[in-house]
Amino acid sequence: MKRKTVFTLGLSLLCLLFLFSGAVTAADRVLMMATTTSTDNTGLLNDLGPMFKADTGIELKWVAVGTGNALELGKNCDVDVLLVHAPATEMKYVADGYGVDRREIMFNDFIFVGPKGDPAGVKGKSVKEALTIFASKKIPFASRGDNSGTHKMELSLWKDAGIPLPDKETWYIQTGQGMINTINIAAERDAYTLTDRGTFIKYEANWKGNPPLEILVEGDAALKNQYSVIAVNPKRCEKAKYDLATKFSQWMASPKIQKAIADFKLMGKQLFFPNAAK
Amino acid sequence: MTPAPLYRLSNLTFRYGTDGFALSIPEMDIEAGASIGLVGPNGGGKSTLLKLLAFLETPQEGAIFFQGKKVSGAGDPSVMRSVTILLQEPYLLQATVFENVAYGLRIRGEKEGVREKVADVLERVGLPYGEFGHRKWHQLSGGEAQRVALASRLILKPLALLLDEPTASVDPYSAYRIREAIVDVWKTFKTTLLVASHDEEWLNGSVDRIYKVHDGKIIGSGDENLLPGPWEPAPDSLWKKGLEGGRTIVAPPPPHRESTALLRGTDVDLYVSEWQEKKIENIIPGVITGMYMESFKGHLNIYVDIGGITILSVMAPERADHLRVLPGKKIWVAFPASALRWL
Amino acid sequence: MDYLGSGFLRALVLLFSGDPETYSAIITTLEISTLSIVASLIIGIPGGFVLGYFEFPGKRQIRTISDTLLALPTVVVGLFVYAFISRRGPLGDFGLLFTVPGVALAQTLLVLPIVVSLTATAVESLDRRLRLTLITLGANARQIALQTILEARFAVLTAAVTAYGRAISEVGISMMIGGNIKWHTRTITTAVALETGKGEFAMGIALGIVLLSLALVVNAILVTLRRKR
Repeated sequence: MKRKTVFTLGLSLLCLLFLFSGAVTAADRVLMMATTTSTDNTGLLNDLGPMFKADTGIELKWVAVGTGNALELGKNCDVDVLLVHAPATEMKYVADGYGVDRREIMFNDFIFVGPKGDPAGVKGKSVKEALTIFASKKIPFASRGDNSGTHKMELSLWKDAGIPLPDKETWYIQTGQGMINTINIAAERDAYTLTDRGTFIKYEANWKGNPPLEILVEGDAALKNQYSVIAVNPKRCEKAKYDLATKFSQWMASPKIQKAIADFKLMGKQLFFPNAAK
Repeated sequence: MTPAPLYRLSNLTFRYGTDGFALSIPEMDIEAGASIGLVGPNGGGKSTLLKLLAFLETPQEGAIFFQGKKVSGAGDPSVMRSVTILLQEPYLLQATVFENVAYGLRIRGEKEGVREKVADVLERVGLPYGEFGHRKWHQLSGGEAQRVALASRLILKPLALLLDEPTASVDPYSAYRIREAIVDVWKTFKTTLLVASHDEEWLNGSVDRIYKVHDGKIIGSGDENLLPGPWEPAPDSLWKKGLEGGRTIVAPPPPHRESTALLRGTDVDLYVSEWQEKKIENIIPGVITGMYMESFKGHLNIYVDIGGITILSVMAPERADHLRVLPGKKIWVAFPASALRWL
Repeated sequence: MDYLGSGFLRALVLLFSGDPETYSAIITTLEISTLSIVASLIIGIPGGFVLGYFEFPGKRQIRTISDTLLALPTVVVGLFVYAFISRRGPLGDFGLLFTVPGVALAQTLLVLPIVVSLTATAVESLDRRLRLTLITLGANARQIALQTILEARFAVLTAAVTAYGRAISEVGISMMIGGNIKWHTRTITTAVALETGKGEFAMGIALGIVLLSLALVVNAILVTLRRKR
């Protein structure tokens, strides 16, 4: 009997310890951010987080989910600030009153990649031309299909090209997954896909520089991927740490950090281009 | 002034389900310190009666009085700790032998001298504490398990100890130890004992009286012969039952072809020859198969095989001596048809 | 294909080099799953016992519900709990979202049906003679209930082990409610999901092996507990 009581006491103590450990951290200066998986995957935040803590004493905690999910978290007041890259949606979000103080911070770009040898013959063409070729020749194309920033970008490109979304077409593959998986599926199916440059750089590295896909369409102005910081509206969310969010936003736009963003290299290549307003 | 009996059963009826077999006892007293054997065919009601007396079941009609007070029903806390029953199949808790035996004491809050009591009662059943105390429940043979189960009941020193075929599924040595332990406990502590068993020989030598439980009814003191049907009509408005070798028993008309007749052992006389003085309908030749002395009552039980049925004849030792009764001897059983009573 | 082999080697490196990220994930996994198991046992064993031991109206219906909940997808539980603990939800003020206690709470809901249903079955499967034996030895209702649970302890232990396996290996809840926040709510399973999403399959395999090693250690402890009795 004695052994049982000691065991139970020990366990209860352990439980209390865990619960309190969680509670104590919550009391510190913590800023909760929602961002996207592709942003997190670049590793930029792993560098910026500690720098932010060192400069301001605020701990940055972030969840990386799909863009839609991130925006929803903001609506539900579960986070204090957003770092996303879907400008059209963001503007509507702010107009609807969910977010405030949208501040553009940096951009990278999207590229179209496809099978080596470019069977569809889209190399060097503009976005509109490439998409027209895909649709008319029914070239296999892999889409994120998950409401992410990349997906929204892709949808806007189809729209701007005046091509109806090939939703039910057999050549249009909606993976519903993250970027790397979508690229893999494209490689398997000899398909083309739209990806952010950062993810593709990493994908290339996995193949030790000889991937089955290559960059075929880039540089078109339409392919710019704009990142912005949006604070969650304090009027809607009383508990939102608006002051900390503002600090973060200003910090991201500060010259020192803008330079740090430019200096961030992925596989030896620059990934982000700072463009915060001076 | 006679003290109140330990048990008094009054107008008791118990039924399994709505239509099934029913145990029916109009009146029965069991005085404290009595030792009673229950015999009878399986399904006849022995186990049911024991379960009722152990307060594991509640009778549908009638009442049981324990120490003069009416028992409310199965599980009545005022009596549950005074009686205990040992079930037919050995069953132990999933713990060591020690823990099994000590369980009853533990739940009664007894903390003093438990180890000594356990060791003592284990000795009684022939399972020395040193060797068996720490064994787990699955490390025992069937007989050893039953002995442990018995020990866990004996240690409680109950007012009434009920045993349902305690030696039924155990090895001979365990059976011997169990029997010894039961009788010893009865003698030492004056526990009231009720034992159901097929081992009539043992019961006859150990207990005060024996009740036959047949078809849900209790029949007398065990000195009865049961003669089941079928019966056929015979001349002179008698009925008969055929036996091996052309022998027959004649009886008055039964209520039913398949009725069972009751014949008291004391009504059965033995003749050394077929010659008869008065007109007795049944004089049947047979062979004496066994005999022994029922010590408590001082009379002799003589068993005679008359062709497929064994008849019990009960008589004084002097008369048996006069007849020169010996096992293996050819003899005639004699009883009038009127001695047969229908159940 | 070769990520299987390199993954296995990676696992050894991670474990023996004391890689801080890996060990942070291990500790978080242990914290969360231990909390959820203890909570679900404390609620589930008595609950399952009552369900298996007593007769009462609606017993069969409750049992059916419990058995059905055994098939709960983790993401669904995650969504359900999120609705409650989100800032806009009724329990929002407790600040449970993206915390270890929050994930543990949701995991408890996930494994509770396992504990309840398996405990109920364990109690129901006990020999009828147990009850008779306990009654005839003079046990009162409380003592009978206690000893009954004790007699069912091996099956209940199996229920606990099963529940633990489910808790430690789930991803949906940890992702949704925990948010996979590095150093804070990143568990081994969410780390695997992350690495796989990034295309780091070897790392995914490595972490998977780490998780299995963890489960092995826990089960080894439970096996010794089992034998002691």
